Amino acid sequence: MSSRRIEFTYYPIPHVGGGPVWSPIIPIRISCKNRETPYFVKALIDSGADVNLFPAEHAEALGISVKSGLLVKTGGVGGIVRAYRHNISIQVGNKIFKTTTDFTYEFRIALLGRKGFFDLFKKVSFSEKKRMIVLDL
Amino acid sequence: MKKKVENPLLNYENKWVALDEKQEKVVLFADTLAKLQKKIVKQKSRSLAVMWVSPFDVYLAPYVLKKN
Repeated sequence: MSSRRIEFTYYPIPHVGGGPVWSPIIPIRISCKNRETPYFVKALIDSGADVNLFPAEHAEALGISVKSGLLVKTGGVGGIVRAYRHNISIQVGNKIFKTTTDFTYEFRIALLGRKGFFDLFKKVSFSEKKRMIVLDL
Repeated sequence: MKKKVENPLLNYENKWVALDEKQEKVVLFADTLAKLQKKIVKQKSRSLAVMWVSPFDVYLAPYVLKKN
Protein backbone atom coordinates (compact mmCIF):
# COMPACT_ATOMS: atom_id res chain seq x y z
CA MET A 1 0.00 0.00 0.00
CA SER A 2 1.42 3.41 -1.00
CA SER A 3 1.77 6.11 1.68
CA ARG A 4 -0.58 8.19 -0.44
CA ARG A 5 -3.26 5.53 -0.21
CA ILE A 6 -5.14 4.07 2.77
CA GLU A 7 -7.14 0.88 2.32
CA PHE A 8 -9.70 -0.85 4.50
CA THR A 9 -11.86 -3.92 4.02
CA TYR A 10 -15.60 -3.81 4.68
CA TYR A 11 -16.84 -5.18 8.00
CA PRO A 12 -19.62 -7.81 8.22
CA ILE A 13 -22.71 -6.99 10.27
CA PRO A 14 -25.00 -9.99 10.93
CA HIS A 15 -28.44 -9.82 9.33
CA VAL A 16 -31.45 -12.11 9.50
CA GLY A 17 -32.01 -11.80 5.75
CA GLY A 18 -29.33 -14.32 4.81
CA GLY A 19 -25.60 -13.64 5.13
CA PRO A 20 -24.07 -10.61 6.78
CA VAL A 21 -24.32 -7.10 5.41
CA TRP A 22 -20.80 -6.01 4.49
CA SER A 23 -20.42 -2.34 5.38
CA PRO A 24 -17.74 0.32 4.84
CA ILE A 25 -17.03 0.62 8.55
CA ILE A 26 -13.49 1.62 9.46
CA PRO A 27 -11.60 2.08 12.72
CA ILE A 28 -10.48 5.64 13.45
CA ARG A 29 -9.13 7.29 16.58
CA ILE A 30 -10.32 10.73 17.59
CA SER A 31 -8.43 13.33 19.60
CA CYS A 32 -8.70 16.90 20.81
CA LYS A 33 -6.12 19.10 22.52
CA ASN A 34 -3.60 16.30 23.20
CA ARG A 35 -6.25 13.89 24.50
CA GLU A 36 -7.27 10.90 22.45
CA THR A 37 -9.88 8.21 22.92
CA PRO A 38 -8.32 5.10 24.54
CA TYR A 39 -9.94 3.05 21.76
CA PHE A 40 -10.70 3.16 18.06
CA VAL A 41 -14.16 4.21 16.96
CA LYS A 42 -15.65 2.06 14.23
CA ALA A 43 -17.32 4.56 11.92
CA LEU A 44 -19.47 4.13 8.83
CA ILE A 45 -18.27 5.94 5.70
CA ASP A 46 -21.52 7.46 4.45
CA SER A 47 -21.50 9.35 1.16
CA GLY A 48 -25.11 10.35 1.86
CA ALA A 49 -24.18 12.20 5.04
CA ASP A 50 -23.40 15.90 4.62
CA VAL A 51 -21.21 16.01 7.73
CA ASN A 52 -19.57 13.78 10.33
CA LEU A 53 -21.91 12.74 13.15
CA PHE A 54 -20.69 10.86 16.23
CA PRO A 55 -22.23 9.75 19.52
CA ALA A 56 -21.59 12.47 22.11
CA GLU A 57 -19.98 10.10 24.62
CA HIS A 58 -16.88 9.92 22.41
CA ALA A 59 -16.44 13.68 22.83
CA GLU A 60 -16.96 13.40 26.58
CA ALA A 61 -14.12 10.84 26.67
CA LEU A 62 -11.90 13.62 25.29
CA GLY A 63 -12.98 16.07 27.98
CA ILE A 64 -15.07 18.09 25.54
CA SER A 65 -18.05 19.91 27.00
CA VAL A 66 -20.40 18.70 24.27
CA LYS A 67 -23.17 21.30 24.62
CA SER A 68 -20.64 24.17 24.42
CA GLY A 69 -20.40 23.53 20.67
CA LEU A 70 -22.47 25.17 17.97
CA LEU A 71 -25.96 23.63 17.99
CA VAL A 72 -26.81 22.15 14.59
CA LYS A 73 -29.69 20.04 13.36
CA THR A 74 -29.02 16.93 11.29
CA GLY A 75 -31.50 14.73 9.47
CA GLY A 76 -31.25 11.07 10.33
CA VAL A 77 -33.28 7.96 11.02
CA GLY A 78 -36.46 8.97 12.78
CA GLY A 79 -36.22 12.64 11.89
CA ILE A 80 -34.04 15.50 13.04
CA VAL A 81 -31.37 15.10 15.71
CA ARG A 82 -29.72 17.90 17.64
CA ALA A 83 -25.93 17.87 17.56
CA TYR A 84 -23.07 20.07 18.73
CA ARG A 85 -20.18 20.94 16.46
CA HIS A 86 -16.57 20.66 17.62
CA ASN A 87 -13.12 20.79 16.07
CA ILE A 88 -11.26 17.54 16.62
CA SER A 89 -8.58 15.42 14.95
CA ILE A 90 -9.10 11.97 13.50
CA GLN A 91 -6.48 9.32 12.86
CA VAL A 92 -7.17 7.30 9.74
CA GLY A 93 -4.56 4.62 9.16
CA ASN A 94 -1.33 6.34 10.16
CA LYS A 95 -2.47 9.82 9.13
CA ILE A 96 -3.94 12.44 11.43
CA PHE A 97 -6.34 15.07 10.10
CA LYS A 98 -7.90 18.13 11.70
CA THR A 99 -11.61 18.21 11.06
CA THR A 100 -15.02 19.21 12.36
CA THR A 101 -17.55 16.74 13.75
CA ASP A 102 -21.05 17.03 15.15
CA PHE A 103 -21.75 15.11 18.36
CA THR A 104 -25.21 13.97 19.36
CA TYR A 105 -26.91 12.15 22.22
CA GLU A 106 -29.61 10.94 19.82
CA PHE A 107 -27.80 8.59 17.42
CA ARG A 108 -25.52 5.62 18.11
CA ILE A 109 -23.65 5.08 14.85
CA ALA A 110 -20.55 7.13 14.03
CA LEU A 111 -20.91 8.52 10.52
CA LEU A 112 -18.13 9.90 8.34
CA GLY A 113 -19.70 12.33 5.88
CA ARG A 114 -18.64 14.37 2.88
CA LYS A 115 -17.69 17.52 4.78
CA GLY A 116 -15.10 16.63 7.39
CA PHE A 117 -14.11 13.26 5.95
CA PHE A 118 -14.50 12.84 2.18
CA ASP A 119 -13.05 16.31 1.64
CA LEU A 120 -9.83 15.27 3.42
CA PHE A 121 -8.97 13.02 0.48
CA LYS A 122 -8.40 13.40 -3.26
CA LYS A 123 -10.60 10.41 -3.87
CA VAL A 124 -12.74 8.03 -1.82
CA SER A 125 -13.50 4.78 -3.66
CA PHE A 126 -15.82 1.93 -2.73
CA SER A 127 -15.52 -1.51 -4.28
CA GLU A 128 -18.54 -3.65 -3.46
CA LYS A 129 -17.05 -6.64 -5.33
CA LYS A 130 -13.76 -6.51 -3.42
CA ARG A 131 -15.45 -5.19 -0.26
CA MET A 132 -12.82 -2.50 -0.03
CA ILE A 133 -12.57 1.23 0.60
CA VAL A 134 -9.62 3.11 -0.86
CA LEU A 135 -8.75 6.59 0.38
CA ASP A 136 -6.33 8.49 -1.89
CA LEU A 137 -4.41 11.40 -0.40
CA MET B 1 -11.52 -28.23 5.02
CA LYS B 2 -11.84 -24.53 5.80
CA LYS B 3 -13.14 -23.80 9.28
CA LYS B 4 -16.23 -21.58 9.23
CA VAL B 5 -15.59 -18.40 11.20
CA GLU B 6 -18.56 -17.24 13.24
CA ASN B 7 -19.37 -13.53 13.14
CA PRO B 8 -18.13 -12.08 16.46
CA LEU B 9 -21.16 -9.78 16.74
CA LEU B 10 -23.80 -12.53 16.65
CA ASN B 11 -24.54 -12.49 20.39
CA TYR B 12 -24.43 -8.73 20.80
CA GLU B 13 -27.42 -7.29 18.96
CA ASN B 14 -28.28 -3.80 20.31
CA LYS B 15 -25.16 -3.74 22.50
CA TRP B 16 -22.07 -1.60 22.56
CA VAL B 17 -19.03 -3.78 21.97
CA ALA B 18 -15.25 -3.45 22.06
CA LEU B 19 -13.48 -5.69 19.58
CA ASP B 20 -9.90 -6.92 19.80
CA GLU B 21 -7.14 -5.49 17.60
CA LYS B 22 -7.92 -7.86 14.71
CA GLN B 23 -11.62 -7.13 15.18
CA GLU B 24 -12.34 -10.83 15.28
CA LYS B 25 -13.46 -11.16 18.89
CA VAL B 26 -15.66 -9.16 21.26
CA VAL B 27 -13.58 -8.42 24.35
CA LEU B 28 -16.03 -6.21 26.28
CA PHE B 29 -19.66 -5.22 25.91
CA ALA B 30 -22.25 -3.03 27.65
CA ASP B 31 -25.73 -1.60 27.23
CA THR B 32 -24.45 1.96 26.94
CA LEU B 33 -21.35 3.57 25.49
CA ALA B 34 -20.61 5.30 28.81
CA LYS B 35 -20.56 1.93 30.63
CA LEU B 36 -18.35 0.40 27.94
CA GLN B 37 -15.91 3.33 28.15
CA LYS B 38 -15.50 2.69 31.90
CA LYS B 39 -14.74 -0.99 31.25
CA ILE B 40 -12.16 -0.05 28.59
CA VAL B 41 -10.38 2.35 30.92
CA LYS B 42 -10.09 -0.46 33.50
CA GLN B 43 -8.75 -2.86 30.85
CA LYS B 44 -5.93 -0.39 29.96
CA SER B 45 -5.77 -1.61 26.36
CA ARG B 46 -5.53 1.07 23.67
CA SER B 47 -6.13 -1.16 20.68
CA LEU B 48 -9.81 -2.05 21.10
CA ALA B 49 -12.36 -0.88 18.52
CA VAL B 50 -15.77 0.31 19.69
CA MET B 51 -19.08 0.14 17.87
CA TRP B 52 -22.81 -0.22 18.45
CA VAL B 53 -24.28 -3.41 17.00
CA SER B 54 -27.43 -2.44 15.15
CA PRO B 55 -30.49 -4.75 15.16
CA PHE B 56 -30.08 -7.71 12.82
CA ASP B 57 -33.54 -7.31 11.27
CA VAL B 58 -32.98 -3.81 9.89
CA TYR B 59 -30.92 -2.46 7.04
CA LEU B 60 -29.03 0.75 7.68
CA ALA B 61 -29.75 3.91 5.71
CA PRO B 62 -28.81 6.70 8.09
CA TYR B 63 -29.72 9.55 5.78
CA VAL B 64 -33.42 8.82 5.60
CA LEU B 65 -35.91 11.39 6.78
CA LYS B 66 -39.27 10.09 7.91
CA LYS B 67 -42.29 11.70 6.30
CA ASN B 68 -44.16 13.96 8.70
